[in-house]
Amino acid sequence: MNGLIYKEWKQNRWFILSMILCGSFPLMVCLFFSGQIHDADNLSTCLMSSAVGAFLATGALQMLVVGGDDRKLWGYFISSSPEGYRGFLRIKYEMIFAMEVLFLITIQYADALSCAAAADRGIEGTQEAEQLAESTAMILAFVQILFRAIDIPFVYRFGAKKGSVIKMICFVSLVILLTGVCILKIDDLDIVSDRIMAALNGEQSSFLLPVVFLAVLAAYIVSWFVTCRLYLKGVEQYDK
Amino acid sequence: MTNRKADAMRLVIFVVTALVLSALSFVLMRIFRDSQTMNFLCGTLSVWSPALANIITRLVTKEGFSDLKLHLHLKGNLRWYLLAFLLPIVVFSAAYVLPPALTGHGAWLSGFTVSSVLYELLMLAALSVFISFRGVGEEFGWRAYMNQKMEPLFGITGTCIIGGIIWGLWHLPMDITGYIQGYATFTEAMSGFAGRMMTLPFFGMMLMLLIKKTDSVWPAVLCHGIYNASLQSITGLILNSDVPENADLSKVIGIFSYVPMIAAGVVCLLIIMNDKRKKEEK
Repeated sequence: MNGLIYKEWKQNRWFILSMILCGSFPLMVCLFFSGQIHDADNLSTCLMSSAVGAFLATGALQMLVVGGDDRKLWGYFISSSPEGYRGFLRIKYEMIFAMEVLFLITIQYADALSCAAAADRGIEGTQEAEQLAESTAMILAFVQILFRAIDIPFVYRFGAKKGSVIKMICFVSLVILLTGVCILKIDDLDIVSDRIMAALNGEQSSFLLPVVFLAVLAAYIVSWFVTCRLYLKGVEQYDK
Repeated sequence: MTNRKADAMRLVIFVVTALVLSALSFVLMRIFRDSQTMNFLCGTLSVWSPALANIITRLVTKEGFSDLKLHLHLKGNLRWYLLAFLLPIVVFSAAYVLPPALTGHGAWLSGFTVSSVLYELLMLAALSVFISFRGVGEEFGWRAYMNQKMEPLFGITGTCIIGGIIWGLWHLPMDITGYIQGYATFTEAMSGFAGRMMTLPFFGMMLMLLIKKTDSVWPAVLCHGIYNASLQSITGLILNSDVPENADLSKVIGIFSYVPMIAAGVVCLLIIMNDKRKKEEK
């Protein structure tokens, strides 16, 4: 296990450390545009838009650590090692999750520091801005985890390049299908949207957020099991 | 140098570094008390000072970075992770919910509805990994380093008690901040500090058990994070309850609030001692 962790660190340390850089992005943006930030609304906008930018960058960087091992030789080698491909995939999943945690913690520190600096400049309402930015970052982190739970099985089943193309085709097909359903059932859309709004505003709505968060974490674990099932089939299709 | 002497020297360097960094951050906070940025930076330095002390001591003494206890060791240890999550919740629930319920003040707990408690539990479970990260700074220092050096010198019980006292002293600047800033009396600040000194050795026993069972710092980090977060959750639920304005909740809860923590700590210590005895018999 130590060997696998060492291998991942040697291979991906810059991607892992780049999470700190991405997490610090809101702070850098706030420093760069400090002259334009005059109130809490400006600050909130700045923090949230930069959080979304950082979120997109981390997504791309996290996918880079998944690629690179889609070689037949490596697949056979790791399958015959004591840890097996399951241990190898477990380390990958744990590492990507740790990268997400690192990103989230850094962005929370960056948001807090940006708000403290803004408060020193006499801007009021920075605490609310900080809470909003923290919540946004938290939600984005869970969205990121959900995306990785979907992405990783595709990459290991079909290889990095082919996997991303197949995933794209699946997503586009899904969007077309949903659009088709919406067009066919256009008269019932109001009823559906009313029901969704009622559910969101109802008594059960408070449970929605923690349940969705837990479901995302469960999906990430299920994704590991799925990848383990698909890995050997994928290895057969990898390049030498 | 013998192992015991080397451990003693490393321990002294570690404790002095952690306490100096914490005191330094407190002094800087006082100097720059009008700057929120400096307050935030100093607070962060203070929270991470035990972890920094761990790294600094390892660099100064050239002992290397082995046995950092950073492996997750999830396989076969999930029950200990689960215990790390549940233990603080059970302890705080017993400490703050039982006394009003047993003394005929059950009506004061109206905020503890099934849905509100379930919501808090689900939220704690969902965010446990993220909220726990704030405990890394302390656990990576106190449990992952200080305990390892203390145990050969003072034994398990001595480590928990002396370690708990050092841990409590490290919190002193935070405890007296309220008094210095004028929103708490000296008696309030000192009673908070005394309470901490009374509970931390026992909380340390719980954390030591988790580390010994898993050989990883992460269950202790999780337990520490949930300890802080569950206290906030329970306080929030109490604030949402119908506690009469003239009621003195602290009188009702009183000294009993420490009993569950002490009991849990003693049980954990007995388990550790029992494991040690079994190991020696083998």
